[in-house]
Amino acid sequence: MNRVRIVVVDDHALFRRGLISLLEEMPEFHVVGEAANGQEALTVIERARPDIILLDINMPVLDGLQTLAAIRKKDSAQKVLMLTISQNDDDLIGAIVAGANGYVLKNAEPEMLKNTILQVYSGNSVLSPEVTARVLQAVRRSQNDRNRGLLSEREIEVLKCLARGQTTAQIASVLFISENTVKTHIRHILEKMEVNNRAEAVAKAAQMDLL
Amino acid sequence: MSDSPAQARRILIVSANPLFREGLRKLYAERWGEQSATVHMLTTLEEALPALETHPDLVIVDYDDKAINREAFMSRFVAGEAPMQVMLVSLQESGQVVVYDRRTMTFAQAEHWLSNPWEG
Repeated sequence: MNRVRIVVVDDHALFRRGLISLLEEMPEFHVVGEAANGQEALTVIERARPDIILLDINMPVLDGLQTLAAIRKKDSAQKVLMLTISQNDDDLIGAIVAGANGYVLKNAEPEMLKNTILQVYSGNSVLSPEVTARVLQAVRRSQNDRNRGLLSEREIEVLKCLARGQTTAQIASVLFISENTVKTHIRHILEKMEVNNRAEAVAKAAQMDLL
Repeated sequence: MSDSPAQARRILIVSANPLFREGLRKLYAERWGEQSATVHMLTTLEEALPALETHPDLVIVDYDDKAINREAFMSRFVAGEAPMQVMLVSLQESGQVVVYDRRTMTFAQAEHWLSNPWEG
């Protein structure tokens, strides 16, 4: 197997130099360039044509997310593995949205980093175990937000009444609206949720965490 | 007369981050040779404090790590008298590396040192 050609981008000189020493010790890798910020990195990448870029996020001049965006503009296939201390959700989600192939924390064991680099080189996407849960949470949050936007506040109130087993007349009484208005709300709920009856609406609402 | 080999420096690296710890160890070995230093690596303050009593020549501490209490470490260091050097580094930021160089001197050496404290 050819050695994987790597560029290391990190403004922390001690960490960067130490990491390069470690990577060079591994027969699978060859470090073909290094940079202390994103601006420098773009020049180094252009020259060195690496297989993978290890990219820190918090850097001066041009940070990791800006650098990733610049790399993606030029080359959508370039493999980029974020290697950072940041567990900030904005950095994490920002990196994924900007097209990072992986996100690994700097507290990783060398062996774990090695395996991650090889996985990314093989075309897989990899996240540190510590950040996987945060990504899933963010996706769930985003899905819940979308679900909540599907129905109006009033429709959700009606749906909650349906879930309690209340009749049209009872709902009208509780919400101080006419029965016809309740029926209109229910018709809209069924249409928006793409279900056929009240029971299905309640079941789907429970699934969507709307109740 | 043959030169006796220089005594290996004793270096203590304290960081909970394996990549940083191992990287520094490798870097030091590359630059100065495996024989020039005995590098010991620790991950927590609890491990590091007793190790200070063994008087390492150089202690490198990743002080922003949650496992390291900077104040507790520094108070132990200040209270001690061993002529060790301490380098405080942070993975959180790359701006400053703080080096403390505690030396013990005779009065004569101290007088000389005062004439130019920033020499060497």
